[in-house]
Amino acid sequence: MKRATAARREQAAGAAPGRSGGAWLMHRRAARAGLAHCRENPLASMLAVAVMAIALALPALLAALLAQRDALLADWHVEPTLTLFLEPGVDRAAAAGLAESLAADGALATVEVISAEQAFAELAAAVGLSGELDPASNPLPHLLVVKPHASAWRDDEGRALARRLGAQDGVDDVLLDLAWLDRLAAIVRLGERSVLVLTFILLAGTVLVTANSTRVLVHQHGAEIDLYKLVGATDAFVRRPFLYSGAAYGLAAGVAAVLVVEAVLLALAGPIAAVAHAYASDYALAHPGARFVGSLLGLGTLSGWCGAWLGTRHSLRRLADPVN
Amino acid sequence: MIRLVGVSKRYPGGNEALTQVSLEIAEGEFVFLTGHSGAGKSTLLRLAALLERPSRGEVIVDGLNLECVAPRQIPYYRRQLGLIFQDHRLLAERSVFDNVAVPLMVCGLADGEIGRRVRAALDKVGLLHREQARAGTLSSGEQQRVGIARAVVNRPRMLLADEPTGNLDPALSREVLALFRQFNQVGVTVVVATHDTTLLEALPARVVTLTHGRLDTAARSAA
Repeated sequence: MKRATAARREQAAGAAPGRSGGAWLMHRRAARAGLAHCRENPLASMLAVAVMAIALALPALLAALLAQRDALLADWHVEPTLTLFLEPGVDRAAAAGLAESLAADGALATVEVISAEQAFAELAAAVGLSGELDPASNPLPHLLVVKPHASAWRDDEGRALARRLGAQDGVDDVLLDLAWLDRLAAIVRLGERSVLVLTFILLAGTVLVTANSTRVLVHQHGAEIDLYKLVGATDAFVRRPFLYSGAAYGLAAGVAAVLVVEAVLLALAGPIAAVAHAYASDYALAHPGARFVGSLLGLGTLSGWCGAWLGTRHSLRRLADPVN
Repeated sequence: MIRLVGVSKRYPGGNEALTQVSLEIAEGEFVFLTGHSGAGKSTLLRLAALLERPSRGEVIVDGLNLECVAPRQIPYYRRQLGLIFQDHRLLAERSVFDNVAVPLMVCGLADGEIGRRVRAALDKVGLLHREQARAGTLSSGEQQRVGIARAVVNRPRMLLADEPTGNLDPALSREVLALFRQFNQVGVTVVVATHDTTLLEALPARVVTLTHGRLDTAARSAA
């Protein structure tokens, strides 16, 4: 709306009394002129868009691949689990009692009792000696398998929870069997941060590419701009078509980047399905959603607009302004 | 309409284009500004069009001290002027119509209004039949008439022309001057800077002579 009012102000203060065409007319004309600028130099425009598209596609691709982890983890059914080894003296009834009291703990989602006999039978089956080991010589204690709520598993809270559970009466030892999940989360965080940093760097690149292309365009239209300023064009009027051409570059680059990401994902889909099949998983690559596409187009357009603004800033100051 | 009070203009590098010039041009007046090239004629016009600001002194146009015009207000000030240049400053690739429409586009007028005014201005300079021609294909005289149409399309109260006949033969020059005369007769203040003294005889008008950046009072009284 702010730009619309700027355009209206330009019209209101014109010396020419007469029917003005409304603020949006100014924008329509500027958009048309901006697109005409893009068409004047098809090769330069295409090159600029290609460079910007690559700069946008790189972080977008990384983000798209990183986004696959949710599907991946869901497929692996990984949930943080704590195994509590009870002291040898704790009998089955006491184990059940402890399980009941832990079930009332707000941080825990489920508590399961695995009796020493059950564990022994599973172990014997796992090593292929079912029925051949003497249950009387069972060295295993009773176990409690505990799944905390996700909210109790952030950062160091998982470890604190393990310490708290380990301090319970009758608990001998606590096994955090998913310490690797912490590591994975840390690596994912590192990946996300890298994508963010890379995105900023490459967005700066797209802004500068547009700034340079716009500078060239402004230079080509120098005589025209001089004339506009001589007959009373505001800076906003002169700048507007270039902002539109910059935004058009950015939008086109965004579209191209979406296509690149889709093409890469398509190229990877086959091999990934083969790997997943070999691991008896039905995992498949998730395609980027509307939000992803929208933000890519939005970021592209925004960076093109910003670049155009930068590219006109310097050039406009040079032209037809009073020098003391 | 235009009043200069003790105006000096010194360019970076020490070249002084105007020295202590005081001058008054009344509303509706037709004034020739003459002198050798480098005498300061163009500088005087550029000061009046706010293309430059004086180093010293005041320029007052229509009661407005140009010193008070902030940079952001300059475009709106310029819309009240009609500027004409020796090199026409046309967009050679665009049509005659588009060239004349530029000042109206800048103000954001609606298409219908632009069409009416552009055709009226082209009619006045006798080029209505060429409105779709590319400006670059016109003869020099026609190009200058397009430049004049562009200068008057905004119905300015003041025309400032810098060597408007510089590239034209005597017959075309007289034609252009006759156009200026017509606008002057309907109340437009006209200032024509020229070094061509033969032009001065074509019209009975006040002549202001500049010599090395100073008003040449002797020449003025002679005229």
